[in-house]
Amino acid sequence: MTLRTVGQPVGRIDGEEKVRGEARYAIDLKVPGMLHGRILRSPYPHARLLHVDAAKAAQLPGVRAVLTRDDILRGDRVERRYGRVYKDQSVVALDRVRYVGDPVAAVAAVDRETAEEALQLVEVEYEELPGVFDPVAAMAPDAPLLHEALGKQRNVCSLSTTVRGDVEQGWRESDLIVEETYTSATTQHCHLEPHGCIVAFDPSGRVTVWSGTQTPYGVKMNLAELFRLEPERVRVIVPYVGGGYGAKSHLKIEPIAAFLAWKSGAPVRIVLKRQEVFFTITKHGAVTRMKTGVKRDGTLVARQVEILYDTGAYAEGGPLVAKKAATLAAGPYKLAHVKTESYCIYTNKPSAGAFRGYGVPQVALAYESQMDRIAEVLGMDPLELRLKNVVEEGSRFATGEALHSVGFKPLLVQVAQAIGWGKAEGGTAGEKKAERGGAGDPKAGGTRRRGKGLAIMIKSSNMESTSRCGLQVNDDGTVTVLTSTVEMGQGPRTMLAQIVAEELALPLQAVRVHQPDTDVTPFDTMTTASRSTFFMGNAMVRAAAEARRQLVALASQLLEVRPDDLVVEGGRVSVRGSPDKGFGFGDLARRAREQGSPLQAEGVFEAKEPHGEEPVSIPSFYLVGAGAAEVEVDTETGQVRLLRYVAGADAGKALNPLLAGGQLRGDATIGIGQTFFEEMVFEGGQPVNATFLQYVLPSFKDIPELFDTVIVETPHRNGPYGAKGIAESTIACVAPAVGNAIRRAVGVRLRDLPFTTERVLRALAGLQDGGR
Amino acid sequence: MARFDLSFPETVEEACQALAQDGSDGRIVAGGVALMILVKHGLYRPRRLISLKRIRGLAGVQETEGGGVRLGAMATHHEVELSPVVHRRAPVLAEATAHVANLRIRNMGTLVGDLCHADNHSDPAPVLLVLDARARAVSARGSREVPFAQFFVDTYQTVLAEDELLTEVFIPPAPPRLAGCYVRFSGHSSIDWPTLGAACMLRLGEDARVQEARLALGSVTAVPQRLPEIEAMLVGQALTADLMTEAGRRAARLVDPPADARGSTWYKKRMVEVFVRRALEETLRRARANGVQIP
Repeated sequence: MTLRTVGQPVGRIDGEEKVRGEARYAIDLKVPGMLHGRILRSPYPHARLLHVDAAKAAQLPGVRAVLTRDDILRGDRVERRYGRVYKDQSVVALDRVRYVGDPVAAVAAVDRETAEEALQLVEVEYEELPGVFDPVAAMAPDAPLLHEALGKQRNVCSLSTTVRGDVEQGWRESDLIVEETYTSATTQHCHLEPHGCIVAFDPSGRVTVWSGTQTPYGVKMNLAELFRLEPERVRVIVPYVGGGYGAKSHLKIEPIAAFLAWKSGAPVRIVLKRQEVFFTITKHGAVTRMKTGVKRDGTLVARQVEILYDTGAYAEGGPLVAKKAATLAAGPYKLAHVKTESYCIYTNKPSAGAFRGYGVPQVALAYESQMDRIAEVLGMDPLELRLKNVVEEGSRFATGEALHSVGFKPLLVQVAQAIGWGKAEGGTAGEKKAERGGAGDPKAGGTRRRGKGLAIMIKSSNMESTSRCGLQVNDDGTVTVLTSTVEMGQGPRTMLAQIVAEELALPLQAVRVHQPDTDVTPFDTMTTASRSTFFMGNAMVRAAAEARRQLVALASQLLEVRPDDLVVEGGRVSVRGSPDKGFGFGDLARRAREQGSPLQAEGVFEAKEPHGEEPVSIPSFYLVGAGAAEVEVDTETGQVRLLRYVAGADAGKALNPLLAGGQLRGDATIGIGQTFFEEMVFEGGQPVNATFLQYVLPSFKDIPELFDTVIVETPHRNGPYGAKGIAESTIACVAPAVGNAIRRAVGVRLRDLPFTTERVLRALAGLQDGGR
Repeated sequence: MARFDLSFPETVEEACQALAQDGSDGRIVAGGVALMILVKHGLYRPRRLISLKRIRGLAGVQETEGGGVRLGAMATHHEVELSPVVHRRAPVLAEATAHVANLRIRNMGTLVGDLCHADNHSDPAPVLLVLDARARAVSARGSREVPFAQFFVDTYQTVLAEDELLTEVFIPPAPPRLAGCYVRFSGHSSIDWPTLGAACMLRLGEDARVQEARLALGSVTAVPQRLPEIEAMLVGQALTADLMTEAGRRAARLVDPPADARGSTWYKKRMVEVFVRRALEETLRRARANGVQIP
């Protein structure tokens, strides 16, 4: 099959609108008569709520509604507790606050300033409780408990395990056993657009939510449950979203806005300040202990992993992250014996949940650093060690599943080639001369050392989920696509339009993609886990095929020609060899409507989760990623310059190489920030850098000038045109690739993220962290 | 954001009158870059802001008779960075200014505003110290000159009184054969505030011995500071590798940097050691490039 639009590097269809500043995001929206909501937040990491009184705030002119625990405890408007996994959260705190920033009360007023002023008038009395701020301490027998009422012992929110074979036997079969601990810092997503929504109750009791969410149907279902409404009574509309990375999935600020809207009888808008975004959701900090057994020839035998995910005050999506990571923590290697234990641990910090990579960066740091350690001890080339052990088509994964479309070998080889693996480490002749000049004495002028590192990673998408879409042919011959896939910068509108254009032989401009609106666009599980190309893409192929069938059938009937003798081209269906004999799509659409059966098509795609080795009809897909780094370390300052980075993925089939390359670079860029700078710092539970004044993100100057991408294509048998998702393929590779490169440059192994200049220098100085 | 009054005086006298009347309620705003961040984060709640935008004569960079440089209160970082006068008479200042934040901010923010804000992470501040620059402070009571060596009292605090306005910075003519540099180190993102900035100016004699040395550090201590002990130890000496290394070591012993997000005290002292030496090495390299013969 020759493809015309799919596979082409076409520019994004929403690009011009965005560059012109005309694209509208949730924070741009206004609704007549809307009020502005603000949230009063706990200043303590852990405290009992003795007294909350908002009477004075309610009396301030301009205030239309206040929300305190009394509204929840005394009324029956909402469920007392909610939560996607465990019902451990409430709309505002009921008896206790569990992190600095925990919502205690909220106000809706005619403007933000009045709402802000009213917050100062809410009287709250706290009784401070001892808190716990790191997952290891939180598991101690005498640690303060966050959710003892839920029966959560030792602050263990959840435990997920994966077992394959018998690791004890594996240790006995191994010639070498390596055991190390790696840690990752708590970070934040830092999407450019803060969380924002408007919620309105209409007099009939129907709710409309405009929200910058990744999960329109998730918000609809969860909000309906929380407010005890039939799901049909909740409508969620999603405009463009200014970045999500997992932070905008399921309920975030919508419950507070909805409660204020219900109580005030007016639409309520809430847009968070940046500091509040840091309180709303984070990426899990983690402690990963990893033990690996290997034979003398480099064959991996067994791997045991224990991960403590610091999940913060409430479960949020944390247990799902930990559960997925439990299946992935041993990495993309052939291992006969695997045992992983993945814990979510409550601490008195903001809740952690979905973040690009979904628990994998925290484990990939460990397994890819450890691969280099093993290679070093065995005297093997790290590339060779990986090629020897990496999974391939049909390999049994830790879950027992037979893997498909995992082109790690060609990917590894190409990424290694792109970084110049095996060639001398060090760039220009001048630099090399300087290095030679300083050999043996790092202070004699040659203070810079270069090294290269490799890393790979594997991640699964949603294993069980559904995408539906609709497609209608309009009277003007254009096609409207109805999809609940959220455009948050990753490019699905363009990708879906390309598929429709391809299937119906239309120019891209003739395809319009409707914004998600649960009253109009069909069900889709969510826009997460790099799933839209695979799931919604498949649904779209099916819908387009159905539309094509309808167009051809109608033309066949009108022309009295067999469908096989018709061709679809340029927005027309015509007789093969006689282009004049036929109908435009617009004509066909009108006639179909007049006949009482409009040209509308639906597409559905559903995947099932495999259980162990039992095969299923349509399994989901795995993201296959790689990264390679070349660094230059200043041995006097600990500064690491990223000279070159290569981000690679197996795309199955890149439906749009331009957007695919952008995804890989964007993914790696976030990885660069997390590798070198990013960390939410807490002192006694108080966040000290939760604003963009202090929290450091990478700038364009921190991105290497040599920044290449490698895409290999191992078609997926169930993917549209063989395609899979790629958006989380390479983020997890950056830190271990850089860590491995640092090791090869200067001989030190960094095990704690971020790799700050001071940590590098301390390692070089042979000092422990927190030293003298 | 809080509400406040904003006035636009048209002369320095009017601005001084407004300052005198408003007392502690009044604040000068020039480019507004640093101030508005503080306001937006609720760290500072202004009541009355007095803009300098409409005052003629505060803009621009001029060369004074004898080869000094006068920088007006409204000269932006970017103007300073590109000014031919600065490049000719105080090139190290242009070098340091180019490091300030990013182009958007350099186009809005003013050098004088940055100095009056007195964040200790200022890139230009240590350079003004080694240039022996002076500030002109004007009030309804009169006018005075303050050397920058005495200007900074503490982080975010200067010697300016509540009713005083800093109208210009004066950089005196440089003696011949003066070479200098500004080296900056940011362990975080390269556009982040520096961990440390080191400014150095050296005058080398025909015999390549140091006739005059000026060294200053920024970011690493509460206020930017000169290092007179190190300067004294260099004068009269030939700049050998050992001497520069020793200067770094001694400088590290002289400062007591606070631990913060940019590093522990131990780390910052190490960086002082490294960058004082590197600043001397770079200055020497430039002096050589300018024709000073080093035996």
